[in-house]
Amino acid sequence: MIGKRGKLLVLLYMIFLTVLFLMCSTDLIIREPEKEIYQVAVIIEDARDDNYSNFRKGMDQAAVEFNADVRFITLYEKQDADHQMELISREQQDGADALIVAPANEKQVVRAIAEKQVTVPIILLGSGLTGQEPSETIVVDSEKMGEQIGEQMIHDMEEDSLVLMLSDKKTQSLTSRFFLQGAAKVLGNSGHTCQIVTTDSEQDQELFLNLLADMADRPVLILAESPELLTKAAGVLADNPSAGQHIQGLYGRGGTMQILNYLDRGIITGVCVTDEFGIGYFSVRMAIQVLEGLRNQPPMIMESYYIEKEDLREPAYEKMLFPIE
Amino acid sequence: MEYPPQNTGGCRAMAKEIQTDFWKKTSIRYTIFIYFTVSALAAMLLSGIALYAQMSRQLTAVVQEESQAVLEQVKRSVDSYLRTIMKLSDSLYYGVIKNADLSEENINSQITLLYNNNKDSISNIALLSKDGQLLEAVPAARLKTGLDVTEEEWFGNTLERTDNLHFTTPHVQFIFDNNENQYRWVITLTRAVEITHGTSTDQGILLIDIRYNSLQQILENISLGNQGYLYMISNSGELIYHPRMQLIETGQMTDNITAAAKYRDGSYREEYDREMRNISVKSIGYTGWKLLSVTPEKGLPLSNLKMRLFVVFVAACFLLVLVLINAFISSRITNPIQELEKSVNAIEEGELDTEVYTGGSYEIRHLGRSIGDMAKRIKTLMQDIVKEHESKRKSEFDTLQSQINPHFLYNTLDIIVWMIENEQKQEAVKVVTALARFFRISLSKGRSIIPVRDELEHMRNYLMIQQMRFKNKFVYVIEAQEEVMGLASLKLMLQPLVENAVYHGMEFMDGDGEIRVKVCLDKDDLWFEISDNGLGMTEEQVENLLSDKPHVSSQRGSGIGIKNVNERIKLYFGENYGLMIQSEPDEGTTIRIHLPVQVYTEDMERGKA
Repeated sequence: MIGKRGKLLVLLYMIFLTVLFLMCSTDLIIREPEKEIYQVAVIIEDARDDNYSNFRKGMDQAAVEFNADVRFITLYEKQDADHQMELISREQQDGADALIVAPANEKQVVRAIAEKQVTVPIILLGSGLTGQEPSETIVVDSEKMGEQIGEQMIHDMEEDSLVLMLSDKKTQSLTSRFFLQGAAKVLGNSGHTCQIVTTDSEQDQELFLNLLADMADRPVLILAESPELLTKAAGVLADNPSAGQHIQGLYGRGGTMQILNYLDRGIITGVCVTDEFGIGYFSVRMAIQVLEGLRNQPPMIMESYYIEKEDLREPAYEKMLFPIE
Repeated sequence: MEYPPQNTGGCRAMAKEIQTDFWKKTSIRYTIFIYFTVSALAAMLLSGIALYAQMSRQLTAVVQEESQAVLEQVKRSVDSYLRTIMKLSDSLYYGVIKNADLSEENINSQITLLYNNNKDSISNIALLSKDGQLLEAVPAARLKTGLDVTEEEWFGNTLERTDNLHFTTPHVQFIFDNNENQYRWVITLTRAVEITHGTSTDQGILLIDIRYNSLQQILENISLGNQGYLYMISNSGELIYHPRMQLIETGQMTDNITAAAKYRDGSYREEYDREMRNISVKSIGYTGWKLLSVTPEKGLPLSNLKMRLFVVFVAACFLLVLVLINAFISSRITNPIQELEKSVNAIEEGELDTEVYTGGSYEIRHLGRSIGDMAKRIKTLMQDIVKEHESKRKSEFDTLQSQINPHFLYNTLDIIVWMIENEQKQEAVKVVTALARFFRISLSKGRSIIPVRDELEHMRNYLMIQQMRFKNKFVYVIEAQEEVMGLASLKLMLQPLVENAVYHGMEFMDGDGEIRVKVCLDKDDLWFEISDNGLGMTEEQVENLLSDKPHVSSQRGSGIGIKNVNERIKLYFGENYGLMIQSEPDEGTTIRIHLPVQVYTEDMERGKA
């Protein structure tokens, strides 16, 4: 009934059917993708996680959504780059599938990546200013942030106002440095006098009060390079209202609860903030995307926003600054 | 730039020709198979698509029903939750505030009692006067310095519609100064209340902050299958709950909330972000909030790759079964036709005795029988034609054979006259007698088959007459055994051969001519041999004698060619028999006649005919 050619065709067709059956009814050819739990280690540049509370909330949401087991690791000492490199090595050895690093020394970490010392995907939370960041970087342009706040200070200040820039040279991060640079550039360009005051967040508040007293003859605007210094300064001014009578404004960066509280109370005039929840969420998502080979995009640049007390209750800022848990 | 004109008509004609050629070359079996398979495949595809669409619709309907059922459950939970809060609000108002004279009584303990009973879901309870003063707050709190609550949106709304309970969307509660570095997400419920101060009553506002996370707990662990989720929006389309609320509110992600705000209760199918999704909507009683479930279609089993492959597998199995059934059906139909075609081919090649195939269906059997009958009739007709033709040829040959050359008769009569005039009576009587016998045997009652004896006698008479005519220029010898005399021979078979020997061999002899006729048996064969020592013939002449080429016959002969004798022998006795001629110029000629050994009977003629 069927010729030789026909029999061959039927045989081939039967083989095709068998393959199709194996594909659709068994796991021999097509496997249902198993939900792998990825180990992700987040190593920040700080010894405390105060500045990372919103970041952690975003990180936790992404961990739930993308099935990741995220470890959050702080340094023994703030900005201890060597310790951070040790932690990077340790976490790799301990089986981390990916690392998310807020570098204490951005160049050192970038170099380590270039020299293949880091063998797992690494997501950097960088400043974007070294020019050598890999594409797996979430960039917060701190210089631009500084420029933004500088412009706002110019808007608020009087002609003879003095700008005090509080800086902690010992523990100054790259982000803080670029933030001050950006602000100084804008203020300098507009002909305003800036004075960098080296202080320490752990220092006694009397030194700070003495400094303010020395400048009681002219209006002063204070810009803190880091959230810690801003909190410290706001705390001193809150405790000594009389000392800050000639202070036209206190500015800085960061969105910790303390800072927002001081902002709400009017002690802090304005701050630059970023969507820390978003950074936490997207850093974990980016790590998973890299692990699954889905990422092929340039670095993600996060916007920064300048806010004042009135902005706290704006719905968009409300959600950004006070993330829903 | 010019383009060559396109000969579309020519291309179409060529395509049509190719198509026609294809169908011309294609067998009926293959054609039936293709038509069956294509039509069945088309039917199968259509029904498959319809089935798939129906299944998808049903599955979507099931998913939507399930989503509706889940939504109903969640709605009841949220309703129940909100009713509890509303009952608390009623208890606070009708049980505590309305009956109390705030100028004399402290209602804080009663509010605290109710707060403690509900503190898992309540963050703050506050009573505010219509000018924004905080009258009571549990837990203890004060309004933020410089904050004017009368400017809050909820405050105005509450006093505007005093009969209603007012729910805000989730927000951080900013009005209280609690000196904590914490913030709380709440949904604020407010209602207008009557506050009694001594003899006067005034309007106030009862504020209850519902802990957002207590409502969130009801909504966040609802499973809607693969990638499905649930969210809740207010009547005006503001998000109340969404699993990615934080990212949506900060603009990092989006959802189709604007469209969702327009949906009424029911099920919908929408395309969002290049993805089809099934949406189910249910409204929450008092608040008018909408609960929505979203089920992406790519998460449904029918969209699954393995499910699609399974559908392909089932279709492929059907196709195989279809092809096999079609092959079987087409072979059942066409096999008898092919068998019949083989029979027709055999008949076409002349094998009329072939047994014609008469299997298969009624039509084919009938056709087979008809073709078989037709072949038989053709065969009979052909046999009749052959017989008729043979008979006609025999008649022609016999007629030719029986015609006596008038010259022979004239010459013989001339000899007889001459003999009578010369008073050679005895010789004249011999010639006349020989002539009479010659004619008698020539007639032989119209028979063509005669005994060897008669044929030899006929030849002897002829030779005798010719010998006398040619004045004994030759002698003749006839040798025949007695046993051959009764065998069958063909009438007037020898006379034309002898005549040739006489005219072409003896005419120029001076008495030393010899014609020798010999008849002998060799097993089953009868041989006649007529030899002369005349002029003989060249090889070419010998060939011409038996060939179909026209040749000039002698006017003095009897007029019957050797070729005719040969053909007559073959006609009567078969192709295996006939003449053989050997001749050498100046040596003579020998003609051998080969006949079968058959005893002569009078019925033979009929049998041969």
